[in-house]
Amino acid sequence: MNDELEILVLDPLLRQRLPIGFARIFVSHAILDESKASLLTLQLSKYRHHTTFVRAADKPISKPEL
Amino acid sequence: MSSDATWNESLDKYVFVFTDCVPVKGSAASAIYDLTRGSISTFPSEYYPLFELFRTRRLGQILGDFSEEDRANLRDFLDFLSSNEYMALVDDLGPFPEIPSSFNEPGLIDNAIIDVRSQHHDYRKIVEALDSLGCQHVQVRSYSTLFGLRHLGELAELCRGTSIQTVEGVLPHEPSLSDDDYLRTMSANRLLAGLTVHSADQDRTIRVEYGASGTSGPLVTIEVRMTRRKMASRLDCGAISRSELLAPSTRAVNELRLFNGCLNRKISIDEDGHVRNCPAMARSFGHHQAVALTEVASSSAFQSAWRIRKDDIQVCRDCQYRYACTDCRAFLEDPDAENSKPLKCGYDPYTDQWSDWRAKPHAADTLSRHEQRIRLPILQ
Repeated sequence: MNDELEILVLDPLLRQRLPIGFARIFVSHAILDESKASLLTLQLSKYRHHTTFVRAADKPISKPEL
Repeated sequence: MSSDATWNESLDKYVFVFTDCVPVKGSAASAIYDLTRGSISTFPSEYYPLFELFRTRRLGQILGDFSEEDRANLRDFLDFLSSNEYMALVDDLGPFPEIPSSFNEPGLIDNAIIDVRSQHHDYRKIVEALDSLGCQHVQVRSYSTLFGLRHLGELAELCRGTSIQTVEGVLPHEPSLSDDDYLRTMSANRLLAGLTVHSADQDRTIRVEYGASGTSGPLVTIEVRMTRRKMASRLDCGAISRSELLAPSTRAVNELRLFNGCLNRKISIDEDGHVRNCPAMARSFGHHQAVALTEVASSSAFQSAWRIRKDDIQVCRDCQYRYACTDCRAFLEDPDAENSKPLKCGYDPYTDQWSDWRAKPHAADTLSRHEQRIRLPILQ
């Protein structure tokens, strides 16, 4: 494994007009390996999404005599 | 253990009325609002001063200050508070601060009324303006078949993707439509939260429950209420009855303490297209085609009606239901007094009696005076 930091080649990113602000300028295999290892140990609970539906106003909007 | 024994063993304790159980003083009767359970209990107002004593004196001190006969009544009152779970006996009242009485909303406008009779409005412009104002609820009240079920569906479609979360309709009956037509429109537009059909041939309710129960039931249930009664005009609004009282909640009580229950953050387009606080209010702020709703809603003249609190209204300020009543500022018992009580309220807080507001002396004359005022030239 190469722990030396390498300069990321920016040309392909620039050619695709990708914003280099999002690019990692230096890459270390060690860092990548570490992130892979931590990803493997993540234990996510089942994804749940909750949406609150509002089926009526909190109070009467008007008071018709009906 | 009997309740008397409980009280006698707790003489060194304080009576702590839970912070979500709010005593409200009235003239003949006072009330406790249970903000968590959404219920209101009433009791004779002579007992109201006890709540002040509860905050400063221990139970033994309070009981000691009364005669033997009054002590028996006081114990009955404590039994009432205890059996309804409004209170607990505690050693120290310090750790129980009151619920802050503030109120705010994410949008400048919360709800809107659109009245339609003989002409359509620029609904696209209105919806766009309501969206930019953060309006969440819209009610359309139609007095003719010019605006019917199909238009309500189209309006709901127009509101999709905006801040508007619910659209309600009050429409005249269209004999050519079947129950399926109503249900098809309601189920196709989930923003349609309620539909009342007036001038129908019979009183009935069409309801589809989809088997849902509990809190999710109202979210999926489709209900169309049909009534034989006719909503002929904006004058057929503003009725206040016991059944119209709000179930108390922290949000509702805080709003009604600080703002007007009906007009706060409301904007309306009347049947002629004029912008008003409410379609039946005398003052117009211009035609919706000529003025920007956002500018009208931001003006202090428009917002001044939002701050007419129940505590400032004659008679209402002595009513124990004042923080559960959404009020009406369009039809007043005395049209010349801005702080007059609503004409269409039949409750008398000085006798604790409900009656029909139509039986009031000059009720019909007063209503026709209000109608004439609405038809005056626009007051800018």
